[in-house]
Amino acid sequence: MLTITVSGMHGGVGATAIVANLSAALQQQGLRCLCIDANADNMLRLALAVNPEETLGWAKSSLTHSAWQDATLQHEDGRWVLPFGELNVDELARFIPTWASSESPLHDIFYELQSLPLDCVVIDGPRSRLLPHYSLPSVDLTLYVAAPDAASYALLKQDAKNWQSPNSRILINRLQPAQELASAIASFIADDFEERMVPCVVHEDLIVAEAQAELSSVIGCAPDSQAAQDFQSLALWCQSELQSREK
Amino acid sequence: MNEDFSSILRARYRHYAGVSLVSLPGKCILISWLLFSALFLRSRIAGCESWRLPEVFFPHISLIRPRLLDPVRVLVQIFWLFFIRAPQHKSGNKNIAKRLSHGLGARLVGAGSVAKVNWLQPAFWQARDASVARRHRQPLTIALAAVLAVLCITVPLDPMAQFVFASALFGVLLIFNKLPGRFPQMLMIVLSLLISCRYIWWRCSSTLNFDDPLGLALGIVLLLAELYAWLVLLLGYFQNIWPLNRPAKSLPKNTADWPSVDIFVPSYNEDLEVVRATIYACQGLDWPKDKMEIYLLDDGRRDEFRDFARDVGVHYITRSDNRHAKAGNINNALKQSRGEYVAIFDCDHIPTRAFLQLSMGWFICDPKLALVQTPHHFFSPDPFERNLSNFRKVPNEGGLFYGLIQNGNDLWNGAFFCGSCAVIRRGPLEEIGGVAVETVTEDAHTSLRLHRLGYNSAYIRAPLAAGLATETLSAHIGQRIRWARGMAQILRLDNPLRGPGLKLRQRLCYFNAMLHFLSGIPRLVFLLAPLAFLLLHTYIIYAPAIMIFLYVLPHMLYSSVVNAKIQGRYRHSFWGEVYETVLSWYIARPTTVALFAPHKGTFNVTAKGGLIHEKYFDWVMSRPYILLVLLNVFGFLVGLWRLYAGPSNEISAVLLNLFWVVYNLLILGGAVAVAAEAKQLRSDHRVQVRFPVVLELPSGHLLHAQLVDFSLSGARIEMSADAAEQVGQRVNVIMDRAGREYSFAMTTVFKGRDVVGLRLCDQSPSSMVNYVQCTFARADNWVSWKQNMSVDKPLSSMAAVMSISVQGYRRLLRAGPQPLPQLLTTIKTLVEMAKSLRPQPILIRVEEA
Repeated sequence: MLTITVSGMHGGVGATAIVANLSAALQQQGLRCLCIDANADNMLRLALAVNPEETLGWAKSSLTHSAWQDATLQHEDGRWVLPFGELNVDELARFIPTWASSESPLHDIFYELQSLPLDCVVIDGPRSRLLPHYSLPSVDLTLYVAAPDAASYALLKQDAKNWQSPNSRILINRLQPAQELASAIASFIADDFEERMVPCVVHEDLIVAEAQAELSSVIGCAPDSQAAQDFQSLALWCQSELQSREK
Repeated sequence: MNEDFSSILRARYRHYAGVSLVSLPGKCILISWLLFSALFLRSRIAGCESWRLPEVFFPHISLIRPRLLDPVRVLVQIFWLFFIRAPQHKSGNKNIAKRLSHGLGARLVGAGSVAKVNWLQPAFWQARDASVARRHRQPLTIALAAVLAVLCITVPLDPMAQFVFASALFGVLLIFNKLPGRFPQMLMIVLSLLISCRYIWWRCSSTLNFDDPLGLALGIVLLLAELYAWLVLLLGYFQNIWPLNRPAKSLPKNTADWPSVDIFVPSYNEDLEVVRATIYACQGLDWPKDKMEIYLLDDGRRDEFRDFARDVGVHYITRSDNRHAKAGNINNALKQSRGEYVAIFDCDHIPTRAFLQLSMGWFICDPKLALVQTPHHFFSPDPFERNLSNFRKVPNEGGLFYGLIQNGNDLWNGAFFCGSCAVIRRGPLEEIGGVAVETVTEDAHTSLRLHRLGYNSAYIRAPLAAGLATETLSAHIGQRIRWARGMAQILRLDNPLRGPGLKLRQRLCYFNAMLHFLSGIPRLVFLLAPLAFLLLHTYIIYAPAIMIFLYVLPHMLYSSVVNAKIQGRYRHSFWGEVYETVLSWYIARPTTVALFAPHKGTFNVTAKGGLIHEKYFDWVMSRPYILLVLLNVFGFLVGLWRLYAGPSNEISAVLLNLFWVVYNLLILGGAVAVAAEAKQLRSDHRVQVRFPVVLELPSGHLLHAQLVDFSLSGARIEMSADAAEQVGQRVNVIMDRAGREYSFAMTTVFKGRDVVGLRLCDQSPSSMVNYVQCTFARADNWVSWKQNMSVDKPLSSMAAVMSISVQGYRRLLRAGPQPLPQLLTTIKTLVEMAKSLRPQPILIRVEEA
């Protein structure tokens, strides 16, 4: 079972969209996927067409001492999704210390996942600076999602040693080649973190947002779009990267 | 045996025997081993000198005092060495080599004791050449082989014996043909040489009729033509025996150590459009910007060129006169620039961005290297390819030269300058006084002079630049006339066979290049030769038809099998004959004139980038071939008449000549087909490619698509029908260049079901530099170009030339005056009628019960 964690450099870089579409591409390429939302915003459910009224999730289950399996839902294309669960501010304050401790419920969940018929787990993680504080089970690959903007570049430079671990890779999302500033920043990032970069990028494509609005993935609703192509390439790269590491 | 040999043997004997007494059997064994190893073994085997093999691999056995159980020890040791020690072979070698260099080896005399082998160093080769065994074996072997060869070539055989000889060797040839690698190929060359030399010997010694003055005169002319072809074949084999395939050499890590390069783009009368792409591509070359200066050398003194150079920020050099044409233009610029190296691109040769990085490496590691040449690659079809519609299917005329011959020359340090797509070191170039101006092929002459001063040249076969081919047949022929004249001029003014500085191998390479352009008259002789018998009824090959058949056929068959093997990827069988035939008439006169009066004639500029608005038949250009066709047809008819009315003892001779005439007509038909110019309407040439791009729509949607062709002004893009529907008037095309993406605003010109044609909006220099970098100058553009070319199969190649030939005659008849098109229609109707008579395949449907 392959485990990929996706973590945004800052809000709005599109990490959740990456999780939704990357998992759709992996699923289409024949891997049985589970997406876990490990972000307190609990937004992944929207990208995976979960009923907005639904409040269940693994954090919620942990608080209510119910089984996390009951909160797991299946998308029509076959992907499984485990939302975070809707917690109010007090509940969240109560939950965070447990999550950050070594008794995080995620450990148990991961332990139990090992026996399930899954090929791949994609985790929508907290943003990059918070990621180390939350106890996430060991992962095969962490994708740090950066947008070609000044904030992402600054954060990348600031926490430079974070990306040095062999499992970490930086992915550029929402690239607009027509904008000179964006493509200049993208090439700065690529030059500075040469070896840590994912060799493909994801372009800014309106279809990503539209697909989400239509409760679908770009793979499903716009196979001709560049975004679909980008996510297919990204999924292929993830697979080959993880396979080469297994060897 | 000379002094040296016996003294070395004695030294080796002493090495084994030392001061101790040697028993009689020991003496016998030791002496016979030393003799055997010196005469028959390679000087080194398994990393140690061969004469020392016993003491290295059998240390416990003493040669000088053999013991009773030694044979058993030898067997056990051999078994152990082969099956148990085998995995440690390498480290074992190292130890042996170490021991040799430190210990015992030092005691030995002569060059035989060189212990550390580094075959890259000249010392090794000298040592090797001097090694005892070789010195005594080689002359012996060569003498033996020479005697055998002379016997094979000169012994007259009766028809049956000649038949057996030729066909037996042909079987061997075919077996070698199936074997991979270069050694079987060299053996094939030996066989072909044997048979061809035998043929030429036979022709010289026993086929001239001294009783018939006309036959003798014509026979000598034919014999000379054949000697020429034989010489070219011989030199060609020499040239191409081991194509070097030189890889690119990497540059130092630190770009500060990279040398400075001046880039010259000479132009005379070409359109600005043609030059723009080249300049943009030069600006995008991957090279430190402070070490690269671009010079536009305008001999046309045009204001628009000056303005363009100013706008894009490159140097502009012009001069008041046009003395010495392109050579003078470059020499003028040499005085006004300072870079350590000069890269020269014809104004229509667009370099890929990796050009300098891939070509400069060899300069750094060889200080005597003065020239690096790369192939001229053309992305538009030349007149042959366009008119025969075989662009990118059959290797073109230049394919052989740039694919094989230059590569073969490189082995002999004889690769020469071709005027463009090359880098020259400034020092040596100034030493010879700049580019040579005495001849109209200044390029080859320049490199000849560099070689004379002892400088080296290199050829890198990767296509690193691409350009436009000549447009019309007349322009193409004009260019070849210039080359032919220039080469003939060099042959007279600065003959590579004479003069100082060159190695024999370099002389031969240059000589063959020049000889190649003298092919005009011999080719015409071959095209007319059978008529001597058919029309004049004189035997120019005075021999029975069966003997001619038995000598000529093997000669042609062997050489075409071997050439198909050597040249298969670069030139298909029989196409060379077509190319040569087209040129023969036109280069015959200028080369002859240049040989006698080398200073006559001027430089004519090759026109490129033109248009052909209407399909037409070039009557002027094809006049000589039509004459040759008519003569051959007439000869054919006379031959038929002779067959019918002539004496019966002549029938075989008539048949042989008829066969020859038909072959000539076949090749001439191909030449005629080229003269029918096909339409060429687009002003900017489109390059067929296939790589992914992104289309950005104004709505913010991105589509995934494939770029299928591009030109300087636009592109054609393929995508799914659904995607094509969304494309409107304006789009941005996003293309990738070395990891960075560039966006180009384009407008839609036409829209098909799954394809759109786009025109580039922003033509400003900064945008154009990026556009050219993303299209023409992609590093991998031309590398895969040859992949879909088929490998030569002589028979199918013959069929292709045949169908081209038939097409040629059809075009000729159609374009001719009135009764001819009518005749063509009649023939066509008759052929169709005959075709309709043949049985047709039917589909039988079995009804199931």
